[in-house]
Amino acid sequence: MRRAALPEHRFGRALTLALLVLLAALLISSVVGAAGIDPLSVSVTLINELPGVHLPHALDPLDRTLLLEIRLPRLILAGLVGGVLAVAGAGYQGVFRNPLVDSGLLGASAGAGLGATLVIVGTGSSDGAVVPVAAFVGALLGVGFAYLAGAGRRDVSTLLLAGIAVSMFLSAVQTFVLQRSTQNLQAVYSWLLGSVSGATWHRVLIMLPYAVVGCLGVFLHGRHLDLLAVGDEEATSLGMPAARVRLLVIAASALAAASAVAVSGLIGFVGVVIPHVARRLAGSSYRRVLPLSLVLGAAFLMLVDTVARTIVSPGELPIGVVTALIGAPAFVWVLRALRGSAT
Amino acid sequence: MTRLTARGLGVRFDGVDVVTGVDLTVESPDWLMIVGPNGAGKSSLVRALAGLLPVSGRAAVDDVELAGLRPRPRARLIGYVPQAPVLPEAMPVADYVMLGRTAHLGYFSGPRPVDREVVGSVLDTLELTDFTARELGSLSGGERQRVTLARALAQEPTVLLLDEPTSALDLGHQQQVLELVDGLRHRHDLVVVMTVHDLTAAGQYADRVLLLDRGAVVADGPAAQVLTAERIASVYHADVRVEVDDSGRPVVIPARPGT
Ligand SMILES: Nc1ncnc2c1ncn2[C@@H]1O[C@H](COP(=O)(O)OP(=O)(O)OP(=O)(O)O)[C@@H](O)[C@H]1O
Ligand SMILES: [Mg+2]
Repeated sequence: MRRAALPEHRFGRALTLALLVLLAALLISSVVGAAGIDPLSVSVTLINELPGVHLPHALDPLDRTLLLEIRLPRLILAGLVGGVLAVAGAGYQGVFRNPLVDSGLLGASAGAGLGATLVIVGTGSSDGAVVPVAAFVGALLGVGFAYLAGAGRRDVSTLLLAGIAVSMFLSAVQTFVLQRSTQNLQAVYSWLLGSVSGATWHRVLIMLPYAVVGCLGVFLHGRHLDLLAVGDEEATSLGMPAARVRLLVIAASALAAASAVAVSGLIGFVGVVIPHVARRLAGSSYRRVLPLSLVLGAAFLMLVDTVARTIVSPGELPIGVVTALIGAPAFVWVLRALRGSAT
Repeated sequence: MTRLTARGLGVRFDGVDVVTGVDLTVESPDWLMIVGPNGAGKSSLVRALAGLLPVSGRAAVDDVELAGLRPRPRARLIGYVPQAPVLPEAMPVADYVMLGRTAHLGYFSGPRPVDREVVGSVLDTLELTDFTARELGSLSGGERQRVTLARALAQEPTVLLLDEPTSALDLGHQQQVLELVDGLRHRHDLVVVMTVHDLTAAGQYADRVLLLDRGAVVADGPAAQVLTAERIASVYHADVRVEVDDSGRPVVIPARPGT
C-alpha cells in the first residue's frame, strides 16, 4: 500500500523552506537598488542595530540612513502587506470553501477604492494621511454591506454573490465620481494600482495593530476552517456553531485586508496564489496553510516590490502591475513544478 | 442509562410534511432500526433526532430538550453519520476522524494526547490504521463509509444516529460494522438508531424495528412482528417470503413476482 509522507513532516520542511526564502528576500531586497550597497555591509549594519554589537565594515552614515529610514520600512511594509493579504485570502477561501476567492472579493477592494477616490477627488491630492483612513473605512464598510446583504441564508454562495453585487455597485459609484472629476484620474489610478512607495516606519506602525489583530483572528480559527469544509450541517453536528465561526473569520480577514489595502492600494493575486502554493507544499489543512501563507506572502511581495522600484529605475512601476507580470508566470511555473509532488 | 424520546415529532420542508407525529422512546443499550421505502422520511427523522432541523413536537435525550441545546454539548451527546457525508477530497483520514473530537476541545485549543489516543483506537477498531495518511478523495465507497463511522465514534457520544452506514459495504464489512456497533452499545451503554434498507440485517440486529411510510409510523415493535410478508408487500410493493430463523428473527427473501 502506498503511504504518503505525514503532513506534519511535510509542513516542517515547507515552513523551513519558506523562512529561508523570506530571509533571502529580505537580504536581496535591502541590497538591490539605485544606490549600490554590498550585501556584507548591509548585513553588518543590520546586525549592528542590535544593542552592544559593533562589527567592522558597516555602511557609511549616508547609506545607513538610506537603508534604515527608506529602504527598510518600505521592505517591511511590503512584507507585511503581502503576508496579510495572503492570510486574509486564505481565511476567505476557508469560509467560502472556494480556493479561488480573494481577500478583495467580498467588497473590501471596491469599498477601499471608493473611499480613496472620494478623498482624492475631494482634496485633489493623493498624499496625506486621510486616504489610507478612507480606504480602511471603505473596505470595512464594503464587507459589512455584503455581509448584511447576503448572510442569514443557509448557503455561503449567497454571501459570495452579495459580495460581488456590492462590489459592482461600489465600483459603479466610484466610476461615476471619477467621470465627473477627470483631472484626478491619474492620482486615483496610481493609488488603485497599488504601491508601497511612500512607506515610513510611521506607516508600518499604524498598520501593524490592525494587521496583527486581524491575522491572529484568522490564525486562531485554523481548526475551525478545516471543520467548515464538511459543510454547515455536519460541522454543527460535530459541535461547532458554523455561522458564528464564519462571521468571526470574515471579520478578522476583513480587518487584515483593510489594513493592507489602506497602506498599499489594491494588490490582487497574492491572496489567491500564495495560499494555493502553501496548499501544494503542505496539504490542505488551514492549520498549516495559514502560517505558510503569511511567510510566503511576505517574501513574495518584498521581491515584487524590489522589482517594481528597480526595473525601470529611476521610475517605478505600480506594484499591482508587477505582481501580475511576474507573479502570473511564476505561479504557472510553481503549479507545474509541484504537480504530483503534493498528493 | 440514556433515553432518547420523541413526541409528536414532525418535519416540514417548504410547506410539505415529510415526517409527521413520530413518537418513540429508545433506552440504552437498545438498538432501533428505522426502515421504509425511498423518500419515506427516514433521513429527515434522523436529522430531526440529531437536532439539525427545525421541528414541530419534541425530541429529548433524558430530560434535555434538543431544541434548546447548543452545538457543542449536543455533539458530546449525539454522534451522527449522515447518509451522504461531505468528504473534503484532500483531507487526510486521520485529520478527518479528528474532527470528531471537536466537541471535546476548547474553542482555541488543538488536539491533546488523549484525543490522538481516541482517534488512534477508533482507527484501529475499524481496521483503518493503514489509511491514516490517505486523502479522503482516494478512498473506495466502503472505506469512506467506515471513515465517517470512525469520526462519529471518535465523538464518544451516548446516542449514535446512523443513516444507512452500511449501504456501500461488502457482506464481510457490513457484518463487521454491525457487530462492532452491537458490541459498543453494550460496552458503553449506548442508544443506537440506524436506518437501513436491508430488512434481514434490520431483523437480525435490531431490538426494535420502526417502519416508516410517507412520513408516518406504520409499525413499531419487535422485528418479527413488524416485518411480515403482507406489510412489506403493501408498503414496499415488493413480493417477499419471510422465514423465521432459529433465534426467532425474520429473514426476508425477495421472490420474483408471481412465483
Ligand atoms: N431539503 C428538502 N426540501 C424539500 N424536500 C425535501 C428536503 N429533504 C428531503 N425532502 C423530501 O422529503 C422526503 C423524505 O426524504 P428523506 O431523505 O427523509 O427520505 P428517506 O426515507 O431517507 O429516503 P431514502 O431511502 O431514499 O434515503 C422526500 O420526499 C424528499 O424529497
Ligand atoms: Mg435517506
